[in-house]
Amino acid sequence: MESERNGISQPEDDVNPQALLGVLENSQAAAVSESLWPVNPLWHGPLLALGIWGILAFSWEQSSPAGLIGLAVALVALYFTGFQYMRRRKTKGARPSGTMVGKYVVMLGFASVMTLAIIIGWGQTLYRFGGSTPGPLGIIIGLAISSIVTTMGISITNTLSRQWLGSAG
Amino acid sequence: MTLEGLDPVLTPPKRLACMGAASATDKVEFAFLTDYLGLSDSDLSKQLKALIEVGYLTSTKTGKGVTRRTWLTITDAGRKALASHTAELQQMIKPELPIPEPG
Repeated sequence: MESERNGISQPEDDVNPQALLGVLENSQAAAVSESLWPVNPLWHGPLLALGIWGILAFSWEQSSPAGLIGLAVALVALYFTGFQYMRRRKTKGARPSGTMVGKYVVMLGFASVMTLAIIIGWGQTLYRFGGSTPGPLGIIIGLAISSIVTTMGISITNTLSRQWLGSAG
Repeated sequence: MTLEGLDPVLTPPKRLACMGAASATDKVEFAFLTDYLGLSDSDLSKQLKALIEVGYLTSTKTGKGVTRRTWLTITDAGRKALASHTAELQQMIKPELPIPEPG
């Protein structure tokens, strides 16, 4: 049985060196991509947003129970988005080419800018809904905005990592 | 095109892709290869068995129950065989030098 995926549909008794080298390069790039930037489910978006919210809550109310609850929530959320993210990798110990390292740095930069945008969005939302202490409505709206933006960001980076990091080069 | 000089174990594209993924990392999970290649577990197992039997890959299992994972690692022999196979493929696509016309 033949597979149609990733250029391996070539019949096994017909040797096309160019196609075989393409199969080899693409499989190497995909394995490296999986190790550097594993594709994750979108539920990591709301969890990451929850983590950011928890850390912000702790920074506002460090000594109060609400702040400590926020910190606990943040730690749990970040555990799932960080450690689980790393644990889900299906390849380990990648040997990326120079081009792939460059692409990876660009994607990390994109993710960092996106995270910064979420934090700025939070600040603007809380400012709009009044005062330095966020009300329940501010928290809910901010969390919803963060979740949507983060989920969209994960969706974009997943697509980029598949098509960009996962291509040979 | 002639198969001379190519490693017959590595000629099937499915096996070549498995070796490529393994060569680019320290270890590759079985599930990655099924996802990437779009192969069934049984088909992939058959391809991997051929590579393991000739000593190109080794297989290790981690975890228990639902967390059980199978990892594939390329051996030194596998790396050498892949390098030789790749060099042969590259040689095959090199353009032939034009024959100079007499006079």
